[in-house]
Parts: sequence; structure tokens; C-alpha cells
Amino acid sequence: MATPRGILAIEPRRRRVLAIAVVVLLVLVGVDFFVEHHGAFGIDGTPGFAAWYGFASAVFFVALALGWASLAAVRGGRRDD
Amino acid sequence: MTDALAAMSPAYPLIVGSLAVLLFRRGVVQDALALLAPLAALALVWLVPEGTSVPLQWLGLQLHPVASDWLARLFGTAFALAAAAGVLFALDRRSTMERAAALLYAGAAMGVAFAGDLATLFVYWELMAIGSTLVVLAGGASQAALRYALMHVFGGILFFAGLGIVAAEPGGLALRVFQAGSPGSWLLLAGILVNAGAPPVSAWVADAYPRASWSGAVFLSAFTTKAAVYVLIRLFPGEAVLVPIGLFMAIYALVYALIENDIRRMLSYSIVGQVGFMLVAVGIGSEHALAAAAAHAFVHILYKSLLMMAAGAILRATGEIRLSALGGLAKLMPVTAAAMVVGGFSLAAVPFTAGFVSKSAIMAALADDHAALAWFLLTAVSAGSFLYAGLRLPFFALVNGKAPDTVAPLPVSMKLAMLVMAAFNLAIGFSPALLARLAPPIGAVKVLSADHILFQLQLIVAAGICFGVLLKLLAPKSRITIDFDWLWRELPAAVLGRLIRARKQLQGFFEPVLTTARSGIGERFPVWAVRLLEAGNWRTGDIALAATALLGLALLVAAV
Repeated sequence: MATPRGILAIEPRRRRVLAIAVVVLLVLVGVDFFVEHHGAFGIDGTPGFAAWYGFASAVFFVALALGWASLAAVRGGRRDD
Repeated sequence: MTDALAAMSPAYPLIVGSLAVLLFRRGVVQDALALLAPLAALALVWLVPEGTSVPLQWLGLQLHPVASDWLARLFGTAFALAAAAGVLFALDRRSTMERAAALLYAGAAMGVAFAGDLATLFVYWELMAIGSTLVVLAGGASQAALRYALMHVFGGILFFAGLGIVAAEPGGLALRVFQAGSPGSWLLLAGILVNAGAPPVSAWVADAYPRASWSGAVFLSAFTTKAAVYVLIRLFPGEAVLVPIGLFMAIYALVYALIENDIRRMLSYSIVGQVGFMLVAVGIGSEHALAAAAAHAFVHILYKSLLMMAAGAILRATGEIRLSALGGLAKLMPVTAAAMVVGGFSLAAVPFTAGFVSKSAIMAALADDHAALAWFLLTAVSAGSFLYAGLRLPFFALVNGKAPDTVAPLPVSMKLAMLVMAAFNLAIGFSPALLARLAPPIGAVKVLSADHILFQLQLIVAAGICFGVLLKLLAPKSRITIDFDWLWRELPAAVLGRLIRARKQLQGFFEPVLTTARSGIGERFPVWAVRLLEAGNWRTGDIALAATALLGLALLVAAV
């Protein structure tokens, strides 16, 4: 039997929670179309901006943190208390 | 009566309390004194009339030991609340030294907030360094305490050097606005930034705080960096260089917090990041931005104390603080779990928490100033902050993994302290006007508007989806990552090692040549060889001759 890949590799409970979160986010984005925005820089006032920007930022910082962790890992211990 | 109150710094009850607890053995009287001191300080914060006290002449200097305004009161209130809650949380800790040091530390921070001149401020500044070092030391980590002390000595020297220069300027010792342009103001700014945890010395926060005791870290998280923010608001409002420094701190701290395994080290990095938010606002410098920075410092003290309490409670109950070794604590420690979630959500600016109110004020100030780069970067950092404070920390400590069979029960005082701080966080979150009363210029910000709440909810739910997808990558691992402290903890040893090796290699290369030269001199001039190469005795006449020759040479040089 082939090993599940991609979204199927995620265990069922986490998949369910993720599905609920995606639905909640879609609802929030939908509601965002009906709310008056007060964006200061143009793009931040567009509906759904926070959703895609938040997701992209989170992915970016996870990649940055893990990349730095692998680059700057210290071998062995350190003289310490 | 008013004159007498005007001369009473709210620092005094805390400093007197610090000395008083040393006079009594551990027991009800000492507990009562320790709790009363911050409450008396809080009362004075609001009783001392606004304005500057009567000047005091000392050693030819005109000093103003006490000065009060809304900014001093805001910081004073936060310091007093943190001290009171910290003492309550640590009521069960059997260390008179830590208790006395913590009160001294809190008193010094209070003194900084109410100082009316630069000399008074400097005295309290150094007292703060002494108090905080003793708090670290009380945790038993003497090496970390030494490193912490050395860093603050370094910052103190910079501050004092700057103070010496600016005191000679027409403004003298008066608290006034500086611009980083002259050597004096640069030194002053550098000294303050050391305490703020700015790069390249930011690593001292994550080095020292996690090594304090389970209760000591609560005090440490509240005072030093926020007192530095207060002084920056006073002395360097609108200093443009603070904006890039603050942005760097926010991103740097987020990166480290996301990969950190030790909960208290993660929270220490988070302190640096949140101070970065404040520095950006101070650098913007508008009235609204400065008030937002102050409000965020106030709120940060509330939620960071709460988070440090939760971390301390876990450490005390389980003896463990590494995320990789924890899990499933929610059922065993419900109050601690609630505190961690409220504190984490407040840090991540989830709507209806205090952090949402103060961060909204900062973001609104950036928008008003059209600081696009800072706004977009800090919005991105906010999303990232939810990853570690709102999700990674509670998930791996409280939910994921197998719960330990038993945990040590927590005393009521610890739980009560956490509940009080959590209540403050939620009260401000549900009623932003409470914070606006302390920082009036942020009153115009509409925090609980539909578009604003919706914006933040989208941001955090999107970050939550990212967390759910990348969960395995974010699982805590035992690792040490190089930080700025590599510059002073590893680099000198590495350079010294290389220098010693190079010296040995050079010695090996030149030794045969020198040996040949020595034997040659020995054969031709045996007496001089003994005197010069083997430290032989000189005849008195030769010494007199050499001295005369040297004197003659000196005269010749002087004549030329």
C-alpha cells in the first residue's frame, strides 16, 4: 500500500481541525467584503488582505526560523550554568 | 501636605520594603511587608502631584528627585502592579535574598520612572542593575549573573560617559529631548539600548532571564527593558535610528522564539521582540506613537509577567521547562493553562485581550505616519507571534504528548497571582478605555471596530492554518542556536586559541635560528651573553654608565 502524501499524510484529527479553520477563514474573508475598510496603504484595505498576508507571513517566518536553525546550530554544549 | 507628597518618590516604599524584609525572618510579618511595599508605591504613584519636586542642591548639582506626569504614572502603575503580583506569586519561595532584591529592583525601576533629572535617573538606573543581578544570582546561576552584571556595567559606563558629556551642555542635568548627533547623546542612547536588549547585545536577555528561579524570572521580565523604553520616550522621542533597530529586534526575536525549546528562553526572546515594537513607535515620535509605545510597555508588563508566571508554575510543578519534555498539562494544571493561553493570546494581539488594544494603538500610529515598511513588517511579525505564543507554546506544553503522572501542587498564592494578571489582561481587552485613561493620546484609536477585529481574526486564523500544516516542522527540538552572545562568549576564546597555536608555530620556526644566534653571542661575548640572555648581574659601574647614557639620550630628545 502506497504511503499517503500531501494533505492525506496529515492524521485525520489534525485534518479535521484544519478543515474547520479553513472554513472559518473563508467565512471571515466573506464577511470582510461587507465591512467598511480604513486601509492606510491601499492594499491593506482590500477584503481578505489579512488572510493571505497572515498566511504568507507565517510561512515565511517558519521557513526563515528553520533555515536559520539549521545554519546556526551549535555542535556540542556550551560552558554554562 | 502636597509639598511633602511631591518630595515622596514612589520608589521609596519599595526600597524601604527591600531593606525591611532583610530585618525579619521568613514569616507572616515579612510576607506582609513585601506585599505592602508595592501597594504603598502604587498609592504614591497616584498621590504624588503632577509636576516637578522642589529642587535639591547636592555637591553643586541641582537635582529634582521626583517628577510626575501621565507617562511616569503609567509606568509607575505597571511597575507597582508587576511588583505586587510578583511578590504574591513568589510568596511561597523561600529566599529572602530574592525577595529583597526584587523589591530593590522594582523600587529602582520606579525611581527611573519618577526621576526629575539625569543624575537621579542614573543613580536609579544603576540600582536597577544591582537589584536585577541579585535576582538572577538568587536563582543560583552565578556565571549567568556575572555575565548579566558585566553587560549592565558596560551599558552603565556608556550611559555615564554620555551623561558626563551632555551635563556640560547648556541644558545641564535636566531631562530633555536629545538627538543622536553628538558623542554625548550617542553614548547615552547606546547605554539605554543595552538595557533595552537591542542588537548586538540582545542576547543577554535570553541568557540571564531563563536562569533565574521560577519566581525570579517574573520580576526580571517586567522592569529593565521597559524602564529603557520609558527613558527612550523621555530622551529620544522621534529618533529615526530606533525604527530600523526596533524592526530588526522584532524579526530577530520572532525567529529565535519560533525555534526555541526552553519556554522561558522563548519568552525572553519574545521580550526583545515586543520591545522592538515599542522602539519603532518611539522612533516614529508622534504624540500618538509615543503614547502607544508607553501603552504597549504597560500591557507587555501585564502579559509577560503572566506568561513568566505560567512558565514558573510549570517549572515548579514538574521540574521541567523544555517543551520537548512537556505535554498534556492542561488537565493537571488548569489555572496555569488558562494563564498561559490568556498571556499568549494577549501577546499575539488576539481581539479582546490587552495586547490587541496596545498593538492596535501602535499600528494606528504607524498608519497615521504613513510608515508603510514598518507597518507591513510588524503586521507580518504579529502573525508570526501568534504561531509561537498562541499556538506552539500552549499546544506542546498543555495539549500534545503524554501528561506526567503527577505534578507538585501549586500554592493558592501562585494561582491567585496568575488569575489577577489574567483578569487585568482581559479587562483592558474588553474595555480599551481603561488603558486610554492611563495613556490619553491613544484614546482616539477605535480598537473594537468591526473591520479591525475582522482584520486581526483573519491574520491569526491564517497563521493557525499555517501552524496546522507545518506542525511537525515546528515540533520542539533540543538544540542550541548561535546568537549574538557568540561574539563575547565563543569568539574571544576561539581567537585566543588560534593566537596561542600561531605563537607555538612561530616559536617552532624561529627557535633553531634563535638558538644558533644565542650560542654565537655566547662564544663571542660571554659576559654580555650572561647579562643579556640569562639575566646575569650587572656591575654597579655598568649600571651607572647605562643610566647616564639613557639620561643623555633623553636630554638630547628633549632638546630636539
